[in-house]
Amino acid sequence: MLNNFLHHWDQFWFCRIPPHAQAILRIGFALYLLVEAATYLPFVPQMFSHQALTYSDWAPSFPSSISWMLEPPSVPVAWMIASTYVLACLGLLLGFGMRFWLCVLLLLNVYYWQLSFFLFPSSYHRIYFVVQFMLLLSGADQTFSLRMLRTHQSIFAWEPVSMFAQRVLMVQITVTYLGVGLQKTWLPDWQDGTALTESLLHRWATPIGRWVVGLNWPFWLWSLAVDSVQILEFFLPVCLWFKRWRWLSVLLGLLFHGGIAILMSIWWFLPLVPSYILFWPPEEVYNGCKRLFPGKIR
Amino acid sequence: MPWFVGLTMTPCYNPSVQRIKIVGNIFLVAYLWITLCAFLFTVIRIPQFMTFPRPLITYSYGMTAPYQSAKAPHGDLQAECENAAGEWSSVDLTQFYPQMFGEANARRYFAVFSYVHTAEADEARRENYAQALKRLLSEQGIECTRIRLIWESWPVMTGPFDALHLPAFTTPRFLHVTDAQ
Repeated sequence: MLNNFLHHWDQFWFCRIPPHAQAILRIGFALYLLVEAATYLPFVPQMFSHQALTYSDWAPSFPSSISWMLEPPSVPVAWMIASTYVLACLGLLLGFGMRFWLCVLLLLNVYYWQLSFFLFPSSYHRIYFVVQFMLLLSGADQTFSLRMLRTHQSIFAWEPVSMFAQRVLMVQITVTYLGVGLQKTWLPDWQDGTALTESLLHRWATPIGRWVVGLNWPFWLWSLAVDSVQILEFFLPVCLWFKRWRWLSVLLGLLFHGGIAILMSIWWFLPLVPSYILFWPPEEVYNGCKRLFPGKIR
Repeated sequence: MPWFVGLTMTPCYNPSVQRIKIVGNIFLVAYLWITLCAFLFTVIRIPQFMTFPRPLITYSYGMTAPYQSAKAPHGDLQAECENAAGEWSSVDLTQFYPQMFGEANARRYFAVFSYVHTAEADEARRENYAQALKRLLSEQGIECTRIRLIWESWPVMTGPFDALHLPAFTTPRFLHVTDAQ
């Protein structure tokens, strides 16, 4: 029985799989990071240099030999650091020196956190830091990458990789959705439509969100919407694990995150939807890629 | 070879692969423990689940439990500068916030309210922020002997965010003043 358990454990976490789902995640995630970076690039001096209304959160805890590196830098240095960040995103996108550039990205994320984003704490920053760390442990550059072009003369060449990083991310996505959904069953603000109506009126609300609240629907309808969100947040991750319901999860995810982006201008969670590809059996993703690039992938 | 590494199936007996799997299993058990504690704390809110290693569980909790409340009141931060004559004038903070409104407003909120919600942490934040503002204003040629920070809030209503940001509806809350220098 123990052997049986270990066998399943080993298969579940460490089996060798085609790398295509991980590579697609790498490319999609790098594209997202570039888009997010593009929203900040016009404001590098105002956000990340000594011209910014910010300070280092960690510098006082370090000796001066280190703390000077954490303080807001001069404008040229701030631009150099931002350029390195973009270069790292491109390295990740192209799968060229992926692990090196992921290490750079992780370090820069920590740097930008203590310099600026500690004043804007968010769950998505935490989640995406973990995604980057797991990509570091993955084989996401084992296909659709310049690495494969260099070593196998084709970006479509591939080598089997471990399931490990992909499985951990699947678990994390599941736990995040379940946690968010289940906590709403007891959080005081989520017992009726209060949180939802206030969400569509507060700082994040878009004009569309405010217009929807202005329609003055009966309060029970808002409470029903909150119940629906709770049900959605429970079933979305559960359905992802079942072949029959996977596409339904994609639809629910698009509705949910798309709705949040449109009504509340919080668009940073949208990359979670393409990341659902991790839940498809790797062989199916591989076969799908073969159909997409006929004759290219062996 | 250790029996617990799950050698029962994998056909590859390459020692380096096995070493990687040992490390992988250790990482995995630690990850699952941290995630389980964070998840249970999120769902059941029993403090005992916030156990060892607490910083990592707290981090994981941050991934598992976003958006607990929408009760960030309609409000915004105001800063005032005292000149050498002792007169206070308001500082336009929006010049320092080029981001979209939601992020800019959130940043001004978290500049004076820490997410650990302790008086010491809030006070440290306000002092650091006020000193950074004083330095920036000085670079603009505006010398302040003191900076004071005020959080203004107003009632929620449909329509624009600051529709009721009017003297009759606004409640100022004095937060901090720097020492005279």
